[in-house]
Amino acid sequence: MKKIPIIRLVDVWKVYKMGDVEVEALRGINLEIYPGEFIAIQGTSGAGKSTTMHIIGCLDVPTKGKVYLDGEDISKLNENELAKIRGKKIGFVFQQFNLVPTLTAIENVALPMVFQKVPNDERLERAKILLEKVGLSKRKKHKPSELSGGELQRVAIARALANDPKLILADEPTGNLDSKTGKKILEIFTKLNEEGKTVVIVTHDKNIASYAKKIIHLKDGKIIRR
Amino acid sequence: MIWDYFYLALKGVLHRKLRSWLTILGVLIGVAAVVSLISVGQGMQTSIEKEVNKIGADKITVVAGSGKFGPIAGSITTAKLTDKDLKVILETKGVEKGAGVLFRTSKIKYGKKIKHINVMGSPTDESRSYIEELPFFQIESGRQFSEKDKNSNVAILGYKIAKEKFGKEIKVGDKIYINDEEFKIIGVQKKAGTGTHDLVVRIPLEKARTMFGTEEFTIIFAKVQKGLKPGDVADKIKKRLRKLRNVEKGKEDFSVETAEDMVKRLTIVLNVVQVVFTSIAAISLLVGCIGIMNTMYVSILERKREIGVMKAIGAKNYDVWLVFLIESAMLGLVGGIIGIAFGFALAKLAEFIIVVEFDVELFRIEAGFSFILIALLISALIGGQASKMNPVECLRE
Repeated sequence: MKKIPIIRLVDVWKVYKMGDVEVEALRGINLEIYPGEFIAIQGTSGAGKSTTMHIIGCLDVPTKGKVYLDGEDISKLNENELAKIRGKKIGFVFQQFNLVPTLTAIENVALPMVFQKVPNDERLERAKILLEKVGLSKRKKHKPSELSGGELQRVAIARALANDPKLILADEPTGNLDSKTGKKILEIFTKLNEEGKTVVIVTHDKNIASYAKKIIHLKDGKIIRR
Repeated sequence: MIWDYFYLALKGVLHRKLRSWLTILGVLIGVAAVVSLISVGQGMQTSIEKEVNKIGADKITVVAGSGKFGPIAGSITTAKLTDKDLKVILETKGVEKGAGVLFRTSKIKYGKKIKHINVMGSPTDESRSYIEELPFFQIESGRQFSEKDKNSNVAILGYKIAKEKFGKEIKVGDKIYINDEEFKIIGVQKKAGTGTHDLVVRIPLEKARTMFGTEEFTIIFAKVQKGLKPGDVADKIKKRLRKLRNVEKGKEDFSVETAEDMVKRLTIVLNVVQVVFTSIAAISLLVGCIGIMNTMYVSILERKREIGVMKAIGAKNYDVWLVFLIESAMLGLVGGIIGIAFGFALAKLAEFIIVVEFDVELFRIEAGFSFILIALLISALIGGQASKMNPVECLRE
């Protein structure tokens, strides 16, 4: 039986308008990501990495082409429908951690569940387990301003796991960390993949990309090598 | 579930404490200004209408001076009203009865306290019946003046003078000092509900004339016979007074006013006051609203990334809208409610200071509540602005 890809991009184009100039960020991307894969999307600045990630992560829809999530075409969905999918199926990890500064670690982890209407007790219980999983159970009451870079990124990973998504998308997750801390973060992703999560890391760094089982090289909005 | 959104919003407000408080302060001042100014403005109107109604539509008032600005102008003019004028007025066809009174502010001493209070020389002859008929000179305890009191040191106290002004109650039979002369209290008036009549000390007219060394009247009142138009009778009085005082029409050194004239004149002044008050209030409110908008827009711009993240982790437009709506509404509501309380207190304070009954009634806080509605509307718009932001653009910030 042929496996259905979690994400399938078919001839995806993304064109931005900057004033009068049209910028082609993506030029006909074809890509399939299967359950359990660990993929790195590698490319230099301006290659279209982030745009690819936004499309894979259902944050944006293509100008042209099709995007299938679990076999369902999502390229024509509106913002609220996309938000619903993101909340359930995708977990994001960003370079700048992007935690909500007013909330504690545990509240940040529980936040995605608020939007999925998970009851409060259940939310906090699950957030606690997730923080334990990333080794931060002692820091759950701390605000982001009281945590180190590595700790922030671990909270962010726990948050990405909140609604038990199939796909974890990480955009330069070690970009703001020293190499030792970065390594530990990458080990967490490796472990998550071993546990069955599909992981996609976007990076410019080939050393980081080497952690992945499969590397996709992007240049000028096109895939040049798989 | 809604509490989660309240929690998020509250965290946002508390995170920017100083800015939140300053915004609340702006709203507070605006709402307080609206509530107090409109209350005072309307209170003044009510109080004047009340006073004029009590005097009655069949009353005519005569004061010295051109009278365009009321008794104040009358008191600084050199022209005076005397017994001759009173006689002419009383003899005018259509006048049923009338009386002349003299007002002077005097030093009143009771116990160890000294206050400066309006003393009214009140007639003791037959014209006193005019005064005794008026609703605000009714007696609660003791008696009115009689002919025998003509030159005696006796006094009747307004309600508030007797009950409140000197800290302890002054009763019939007590003694007070007016300009260092001893007077015996023979009566206390019923509560009139108007400052002029509750804060007055009445003494016999003749006594007042001797004490103040003058023969003049501050005001002469006249009552029009039933069935006649006060305006017509007022014209007749004017004509006869012109002849007596030998002045041409249009150059009168006195003024004759009916209750209707008085209402008209006061309404014009009041309208100006109301317009000024309302404008100040409106400007304050506008500034308050702009304050909220400014704070919230800055907040949205600062938190573009946060909005982007919220959307990335599954927040729908509605979720983002609700968080920002609640956050903005909190600023408006807290400021609005404290503002209403402050405005109410200010209006009460004004009432206390100026004594005139301002009638600060609860329904005038409508203005405050309508502001809160405006604040909610603004909040909804701001929330809308935040919720429509594109997540990709937000994350790129």
